[in-house]
Amino acid sequence: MISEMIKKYWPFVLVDIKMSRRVILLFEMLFWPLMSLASLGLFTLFLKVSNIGKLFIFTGAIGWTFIHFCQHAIGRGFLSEVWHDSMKQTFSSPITLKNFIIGHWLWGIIGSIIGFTVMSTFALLIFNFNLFSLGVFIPVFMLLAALCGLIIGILSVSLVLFFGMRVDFLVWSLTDMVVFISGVYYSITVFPPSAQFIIHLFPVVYVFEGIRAALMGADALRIFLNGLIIAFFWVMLGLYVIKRIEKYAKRTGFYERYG
Amino acid sequence: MLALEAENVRKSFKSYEGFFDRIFNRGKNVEALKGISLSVKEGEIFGLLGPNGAGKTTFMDIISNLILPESGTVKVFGLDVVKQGLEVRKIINLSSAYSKFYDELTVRENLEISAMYYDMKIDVEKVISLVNLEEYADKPFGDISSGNQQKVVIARSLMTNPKLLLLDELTIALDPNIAARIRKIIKKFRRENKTTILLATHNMYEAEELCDRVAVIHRGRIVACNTAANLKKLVSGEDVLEITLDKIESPSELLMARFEGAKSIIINKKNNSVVIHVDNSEKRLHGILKTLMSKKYKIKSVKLKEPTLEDVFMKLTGAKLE
Repeated sequence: MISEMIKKYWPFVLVDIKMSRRVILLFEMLFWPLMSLASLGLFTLFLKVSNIGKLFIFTGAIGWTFIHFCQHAIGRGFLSEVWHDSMKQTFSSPITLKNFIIGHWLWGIIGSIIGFTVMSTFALLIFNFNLFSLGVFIPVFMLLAALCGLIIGILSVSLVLFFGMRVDFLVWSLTDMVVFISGVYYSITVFPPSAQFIIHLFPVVYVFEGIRAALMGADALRIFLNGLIIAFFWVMLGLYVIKRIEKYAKRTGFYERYG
Repeated sequence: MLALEAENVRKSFKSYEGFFDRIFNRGKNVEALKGISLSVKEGEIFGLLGPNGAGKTTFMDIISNLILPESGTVKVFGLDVVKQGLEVRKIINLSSAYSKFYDELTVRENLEISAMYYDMKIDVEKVISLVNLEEYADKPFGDISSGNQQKVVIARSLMTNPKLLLLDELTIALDPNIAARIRKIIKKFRRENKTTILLATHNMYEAEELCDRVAVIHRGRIVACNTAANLKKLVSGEDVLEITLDKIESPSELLMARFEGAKSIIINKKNNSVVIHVDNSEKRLHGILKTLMSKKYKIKSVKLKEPTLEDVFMKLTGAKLE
């Protein structure tokens, strides 16, 4: 069963691994996140930000990079087929869009784990902020963050399949739009209660509430579990919706237009 | 068993202008296929001959499960392309002249990854040598010439030894030498593997050279289907005169001119020529030249041509292939 799964997803992971020879991908995985982390770290030093303030800033920056890279791996994988004019060849092969998305997502997880490790080590060594103290919650955080990346990735590919390449910019900007409502750098208590209720219907907020609760010694497990249940629901819904949208794309000639 | 059976396949697309037109499904309907029916026997090379926009690629994409037809059925070796899309994709392979690969990966890497999609044991080296690309195997795809890129695309479609091979504009935009070499590869592959091939082309030479049977497709309809030799009989009893003039200022004036015995007239402004189908060139030539000279045209050359598939196409549709 495992070998069957590997066969399904490995080609897409392999494409991404081989493509990572491109310097720009290394920049996306390490350079820009590190530069952003360094700037924010220096900002905390300059303003003598409190420990709680540092907690919000560093968990926000590192956690967000994890989700962002997972989502980008999916979006970039899909758009890459259009940019290389290889879409027709790829999708006339006996592969499914679901396997294609999951394969690229798996690469996103690998890249995100590398990025997380490097960024957390950097934060520890330079700014004395220890994210490794999350301990057993690290894999739980990673799983939830990866699922959030998958959900946003499915959404971005769905939008491109529906509206065409005119909305390809959403692949790059969708995660940034989500930052605003998901309490990445602040608690969502800043929003009115009704808005908080709606925000809690989406899993991203649980990533940051969970990670901060774990570092502050609060009940993080409950938050993460709630987040995972909601995330699984959204993943299932996303996979169902994208199947329908792919049918729509086949009816409207998406692959012919962008093949 | 038939390799391919299509029955009354229709497809139209909506063209949307504004962003919200798509959401509210307000678009202009463009009919791409208007009831295509055909059958291809196992082992046959079947050509779809028609100009750009005739519907060839749309039909190929329906067979490849990239587009869903509006109505009608398409079966590949008995499998329905809509209901059993994944199964169909396992036994076909598509080579499109407009398709490429990842520029950054080498030729070998690209083929190896494509092979993985099919979950088959594939000897990539054998495929590379089949298309004579050994010396380019380790070069990035983006660094090799367009002719060699086209060979890689073809290699990819041959490597799975498909039961039905779809070739969409096999040699478009390639220089004649490379195009001839690619046709040779396809012929050899077919001879050795008895593969059924569906070739969409607007190149009449290619259709004549490769295909056992040819369907002439125009504006989403098949207007004739037979062997190339039998199709040419449609214009037998007719001669084709190609007259090159010094310049053509007013094509409409030529179209209006009453050339004695002319059955159809095609004007090619690019090379200032007029192609006239007549029942008897010997009898009619004098009158035609006289008419042209009376309209102050200078005649540079006159050729009597053997009828080609292009002439068949012109006769059937009144349009040119290009």
